[in-house]
Amino acid sequence: MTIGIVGYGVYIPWCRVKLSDLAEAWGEKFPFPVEKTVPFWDEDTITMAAEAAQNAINHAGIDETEIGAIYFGTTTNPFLEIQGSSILKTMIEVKTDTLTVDLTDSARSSTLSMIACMDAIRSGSIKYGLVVGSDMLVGKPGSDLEYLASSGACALVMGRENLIAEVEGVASYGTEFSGRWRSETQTFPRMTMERFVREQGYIHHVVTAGTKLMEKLEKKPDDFKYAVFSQPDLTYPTLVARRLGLTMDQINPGMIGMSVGYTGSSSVLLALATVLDKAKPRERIMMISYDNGGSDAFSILTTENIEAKRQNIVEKYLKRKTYVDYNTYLRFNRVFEKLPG
Amino acid sequence: MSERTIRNKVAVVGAGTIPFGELYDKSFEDMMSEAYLNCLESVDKGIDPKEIEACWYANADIVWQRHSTGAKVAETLGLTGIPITRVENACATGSDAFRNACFAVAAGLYDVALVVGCEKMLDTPGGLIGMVDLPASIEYPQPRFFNMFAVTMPSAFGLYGTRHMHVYGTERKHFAMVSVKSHHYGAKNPYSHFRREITVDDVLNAPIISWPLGLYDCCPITDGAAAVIVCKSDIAKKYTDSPVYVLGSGLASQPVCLNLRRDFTTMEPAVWAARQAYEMAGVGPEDIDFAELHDCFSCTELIQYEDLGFCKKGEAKTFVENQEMYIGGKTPCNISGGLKSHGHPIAATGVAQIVELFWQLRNEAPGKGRQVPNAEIGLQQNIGGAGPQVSCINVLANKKM
Amino acid sequence: MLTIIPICVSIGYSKSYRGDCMATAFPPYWRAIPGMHRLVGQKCKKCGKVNFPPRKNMICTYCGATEFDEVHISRRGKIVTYVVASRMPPGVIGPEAFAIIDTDDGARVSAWSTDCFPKDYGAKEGSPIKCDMPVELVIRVIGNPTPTPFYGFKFRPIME
Repeated sequence: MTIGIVGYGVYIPWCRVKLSDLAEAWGEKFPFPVEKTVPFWDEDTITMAAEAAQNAINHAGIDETEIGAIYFGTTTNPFLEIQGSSILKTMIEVKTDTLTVDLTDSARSSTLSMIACMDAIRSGSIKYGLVVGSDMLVGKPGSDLEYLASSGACALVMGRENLIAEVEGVASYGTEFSGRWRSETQTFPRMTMERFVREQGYIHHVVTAGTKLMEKLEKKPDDFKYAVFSQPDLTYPTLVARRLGLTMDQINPGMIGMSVGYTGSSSVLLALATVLDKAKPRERIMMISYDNGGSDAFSILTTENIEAKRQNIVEKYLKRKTYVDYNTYLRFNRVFEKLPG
Repeated sequence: MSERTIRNKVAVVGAGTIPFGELYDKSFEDMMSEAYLNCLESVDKGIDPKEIEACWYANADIVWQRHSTGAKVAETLGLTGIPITRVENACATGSDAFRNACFAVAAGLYDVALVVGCEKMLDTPGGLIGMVDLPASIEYPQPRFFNMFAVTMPSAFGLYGTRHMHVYGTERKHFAMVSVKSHHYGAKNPYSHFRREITVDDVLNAPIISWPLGLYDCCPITDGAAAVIVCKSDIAKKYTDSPVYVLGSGLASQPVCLNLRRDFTTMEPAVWAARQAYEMAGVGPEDIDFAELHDCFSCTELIQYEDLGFCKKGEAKTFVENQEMYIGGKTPCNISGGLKSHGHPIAATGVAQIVELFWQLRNEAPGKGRQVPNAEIGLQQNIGGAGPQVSCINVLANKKM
Repeated sequence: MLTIIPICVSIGYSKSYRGDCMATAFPPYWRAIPGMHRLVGQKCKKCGKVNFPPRKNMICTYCGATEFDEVHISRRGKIVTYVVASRMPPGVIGPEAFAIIDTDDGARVSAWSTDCFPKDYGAKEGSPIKCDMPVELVIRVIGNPTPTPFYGFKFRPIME
C-alpha cells in the first residue's frame, strides 16, 4: 500500500536581500547573483508555517478535520517550552484530538517528520498527516554563516488516497558527526572548519544515504528525473551529484537556494516543491536532506494525479519580491534585540 | 407639543470656567474649585451654594486618576449631603452630565442643580497617548485584542477622514482650513490652551501622526474644568434677568468595535443625536446661529458640518472654502477656538462648551472679535470614544421658543 | 507657546502592560483565539450579516437576533478606509496602515498592514495603500514579537 503526498504548499517571505549588498556592508565582495529572503518584522516561524500549511491543505483538497497529526520540524521555535505545532493547530481548523508533534534541533527535522508521519499512516493511526518544515535562520552579523541564513516554510499533506506523488522508499544514515551547532545560551549558530564539515559531514552522509537508497530500491542514477538536496551551501549539491552519478540537468531544477538562501529545515522541502511544480506524471525524484551527521534519502514517484492538481506555487511566491538593504535586513531579523545589553 | 420634551423647562443661570492649558501648577481639586467659584460669581443676582440641591459630575477619568466618585465633588466644593452623580461617556461626558441634570430639573425633582466637569490629563506621562498601551484602551475590547496595540484616537477618526476624501474629493487642505479657523478664534480667547494663529501650510507640513491627520489636525492634551448652574425656568429670574434656556437634547450611540460600523463618511451618532435634539427643540439646522462642535480632529469638525445639516452631504469642502464657519458666514463654528485651540480636557469640554454658549447668547464672549452678532440659538456637541461611538447634543437659546 | 508633541516612545510608556505572558495564559486573549487565529465569525440566521469578533451569547449588532452559524470569514477583501499611523509602540516597526476591510463574503473586519511599506502617505501615485484596493488577510505576529508573540490577522496587498 502506497503512502505519499496528497498536497503541498510553501511560504516564502516578500523581502529579499542580495548577498552582494550583504558582503559590501562588511567590506567584502560576493560577485554571484544570489539573494536570500528576509522575513518581515512581524513574521515568525509559526506564521510562515501557518500560511504554508493552509496552502498545502487547500492544494490537497481535503477536509482539515481529517488530519490526524501535525508534525512540525524546525530549529527556530519561538518557544522552548510551548509546542509550535500546538500553536499552529489553533490556526487551522483541526480537531482537538489531533496529535501535535514537534521535531526540533535539526534541519533534518522536516524529513524526519515525513518518516514519522508515514509510519503513523502505515500503522493506521491517522488518515492524513500534515508535515511542516519552517525556519527563520539568522547568522551572526559578519560571519560566514550569515550569508545564506534565511527564512521559509513548506508543508505537505501526506496520506494514502488521491496522491500526487508516492514515497517509494526511504533510506536513512546517521553518525555521531556534527559540524554546526547552537547551544541553549548561544544566540547564533556556529560551525567548525568548512572543508571538514563539507567532506566528512555533508558529502559523506548524503552520498551514503543516496547510495543506500538506490541499493535498497534497486535503482540507478538515471532512473531519477530530478534530485533535490538541502542547501546549506550552494556548491554542495554539485559535489554530491558527481559522486552519486547524477547530472547537472537532474539537480539544477531544484536549486532554489540561489533565490531564497538556506531556509533550514524547509530547505529540502522547498527544493522538492520547486520540482513538484514542474514534474510530469511518473517521474522519479531523489530527495536527500542533511544536518549534523544525518541524512534521509527518499525516492518519490509522481502519479497521474499531479497533472490534475498542477500548481505553480513556488514561482508565485518567488516572483513576489522586493529588495531591502542590509540595515532593514538586520532590523527585520531583530538582530539587535538578540544582542546582549 | 409632545410631553416628552424639556424645551423651555430648564434655564442656565451661571457658568464659569478656567483658562485651559497644561496646568502643572494646579491640582485636580484646584481646577474644580476655581471653575466652580467663577461659576458662582457669574450668577448676576448672586446665589447661595446651599441652594444647589443636586450635582452632576462629569469626569471621564481617562488616564486613571481615580477621581471618579461624586464624593470627590462633595469634598472639593463643600457640597456634602446632596446627591452627586458621576457621569462617564467618553468625550461626551460633559454634555451627557448637563443633559441629565436638565432632565432632573425638568422633571421637577430639583429647583437648582450644578453641573461640574473636570479633567486632569497631564499628571501622568504620555497623557492620552498612553492609552494606546493601557487597558483603558479597552474602549475597544475586541479589536484591541485583535490588534494588540489599540488604534489610537487619531487613527480611529482618521478612518473617517480618508473615506470622506475618497468619496467626496475632500483634501487635507480642507481639514487644514478648519484648524486655521479654530486657531484664529482661539488666539482671541483668553481661556484657550493655544493662543496663536496658524496657516494652512503649517498644518500641511506638520509631522504626520496618522495620515491623513498631522500634528496640527489633532487637538492637544489639556487640563481644565468648567461648571454651570441650571434651574427651573420659572425661577430663573431670581438669579438673572438674562437666563439661557435649554431647548433640546439628544444622545445616540453606535458600536465600539470599528468593524461593526456601517458608514465611514458620516458620524452616525451625531446625525441621530442631532435629529433628537432638533425635534425636541423645534428647530432645524438653518436656525442654529452658531455651534460649538467636537473637533477632536479637523476631519471630525468638517464631517460635522454635513452631519448636523449645516451643509449638504459631500459639500463640506465648499462650505469650508467659502469660510461659512467664520463669524459672518452661514454657521460660525467653534468660535471658542474649538477643541483644537481651546483644548480638550475630556469631560470638562462639554461643560465648557455650555459656558461658551452662555456667554455668546448673553453677548458677553470674552476676548475681542469673538462675539457672534445677534446670537439667539446655539448648539453644543460632543462626540465620544475612539472613532465616534457616541454623540450628545444640546441646543440652547436666549429666549423661550 | 510651544506645542507639546505627544511622544509614544517615552519613559513611562510601559512596554508591556500585559507583563511577560503568553497569549493563552491570559484569559481575554485566550478567549479571543477563534477570531484571532482562525477568523471565525458569527453569521446571523435572521439578517445574514456576519458579526465579528465572535462571542458567546452574541447578540447581532445589526438586528438584535440571537441565533448564529459559525463561519470562516473569507481571507480576501477590499479596503473600505484606512489610516497610516506613524507612531508605534516599542518593538513595532512602523509606519503601518490600519484599514477597515470588507471581505468577499460580506463580513467587515479591521486589520493592520504587512508586507508593504506605506511610507508614502496618501493616494498619490505609488502609494501602496488606497481605498477600494483588493487585499488578503494573513496571519502574523501582532505587536512586538518579543518576549512572547501574539498572533492575529493583518492585511497585505494581494499576491498575483
